[in-house]
Amino acid sequence: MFSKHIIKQSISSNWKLWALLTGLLSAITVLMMFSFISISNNPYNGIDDKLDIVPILAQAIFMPTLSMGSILMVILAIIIGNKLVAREIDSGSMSFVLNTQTTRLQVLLSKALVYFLMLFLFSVIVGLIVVIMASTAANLDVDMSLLASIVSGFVIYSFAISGFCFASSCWFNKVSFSLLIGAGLPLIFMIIGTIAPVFVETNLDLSNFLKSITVTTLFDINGIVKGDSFAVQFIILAVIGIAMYSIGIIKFLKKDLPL
Amino acid sequence: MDENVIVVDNLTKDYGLGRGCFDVSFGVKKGEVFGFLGPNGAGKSTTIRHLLGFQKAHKGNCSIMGLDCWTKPKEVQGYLGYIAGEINYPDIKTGWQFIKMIASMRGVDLKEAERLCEYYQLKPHGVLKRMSKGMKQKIALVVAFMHNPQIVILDEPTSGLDPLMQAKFVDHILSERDKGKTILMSSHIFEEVEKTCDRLAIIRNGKIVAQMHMNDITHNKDKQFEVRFKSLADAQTFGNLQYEFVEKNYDKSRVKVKVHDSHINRFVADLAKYQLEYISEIKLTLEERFMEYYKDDTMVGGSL
Repeated sequence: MFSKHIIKQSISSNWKLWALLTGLLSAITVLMMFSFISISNNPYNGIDDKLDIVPILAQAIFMPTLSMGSILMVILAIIIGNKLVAREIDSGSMSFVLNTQTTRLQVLLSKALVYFLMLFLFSVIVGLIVVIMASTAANLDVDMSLLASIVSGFVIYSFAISGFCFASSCWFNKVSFSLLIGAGLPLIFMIIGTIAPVFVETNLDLSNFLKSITVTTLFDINGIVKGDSFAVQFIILAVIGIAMYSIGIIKFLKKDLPL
Repeated sequence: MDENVIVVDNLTKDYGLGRGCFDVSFGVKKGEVFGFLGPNGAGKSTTIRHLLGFQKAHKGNCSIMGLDCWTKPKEVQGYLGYIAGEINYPDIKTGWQFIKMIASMRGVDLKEAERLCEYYQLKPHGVLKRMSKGMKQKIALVVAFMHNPQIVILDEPTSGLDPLMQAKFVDHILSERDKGKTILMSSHIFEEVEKTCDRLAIIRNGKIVAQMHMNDITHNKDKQFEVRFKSLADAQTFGNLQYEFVEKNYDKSRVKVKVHDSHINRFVADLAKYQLEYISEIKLTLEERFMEYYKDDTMVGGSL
């Protein structure tokens, strides 16, 4: 089902960008954790209770709109998604691989696996940094179950977003078209997710309309922090992701390749 | 040995605006080197991509070893070595790493690859991205032949190679043919085709306009003769007969005439009535034949 050579090659040609962006977000997280620890250790800070850090981290790193984590995640998803399939078709380099007895399906499943794992580790590593650093500090209050919900939500959200990039990369033979759609849609989702709340105060009631056409609203961090239920939204996000990956793979199996 | 291992049957792929290929049919027998000639954009690569299972035909189909190329690409690829018309390599550092990866994907050892590298004087350990076009082409040649495939499909295999390497390539193809391999090769280098191919097809505007045995180029059924008469009067009377004249030069009492083999007896009988200075056949090279099919618009869908 998978080809270990394709997996190896896909990792070796993409790990540098992955390491760079994951390292960047990890560094930001480490800095935030240090500042939390130093605030909580300062006896004059006027905070009597333990510092509840998960809601702050959720806002700064995991918000599906313009947070550090989601911006870096979208960049990662766009570049690697486009590189994995569309670029190899556009340049013609996939012809060699398909001239072995590796099938189109094996190639795509292997690439999708690498893609998903990269995005999965991107989120999970940040979560682990929080857990490990918090365990060394006495005065931090880390709501582990809330953190777990938010990190897993972010993984599912990344999966859905990457589905659009992957489907676009599989659909188009030209890198320019693949990038136009594969980068365009995630960015539009982020922008709509960011501006939608602004319209709440107007009489136009655009807010509900905008929220209904973007996937970012399905990952409602503020709701999760407040304790709203989120299972249904997560399932919908996962279904969107699975649907997009499937659309991409099915199209790729049927289309003409200019190799 | 007579069985066709590559069959292209009424293959049609219409890209619109007259581009693509239309009702292309030909077969390649086991152990044969088949040349596929045509200018840029004539439909050579389109046809070849169908054979590799990369494209789905609008009409007709193609098969290799009796297996449909679109529905059974995995089985078909097991028989094939392939060089694409445009060569680009994946993100892999050195040429040798790439060769090793493909060898291990095919489950073959590197002995043949090493031999081919030596044969083509290729040092594959350099960085792929910095390699010249010729070096990239050599790596593609190594990769296409290193697993001893029964059938090799080459889309303009010598582009970028220097004349010395082109000569080595010709020798290589001939030795592979002697080993019983079947080779389909597209090209627009006549010399290379003349030296290697047993049979060839000429494609133009997506249609096969001629298929011929290489022997027929020299033993072509439409022969051209130059005839010189002793007298101008004879030349003129002969010039008025029903023949296809290429040139009438009455100043020198000379005509050039094209005669099909089926009319040769009538031709000889007619000539016997005149006093001749000499008669000689004008041999056509492949290049002249090729140009003949290209300059004359009425030849589309023409003879076989």
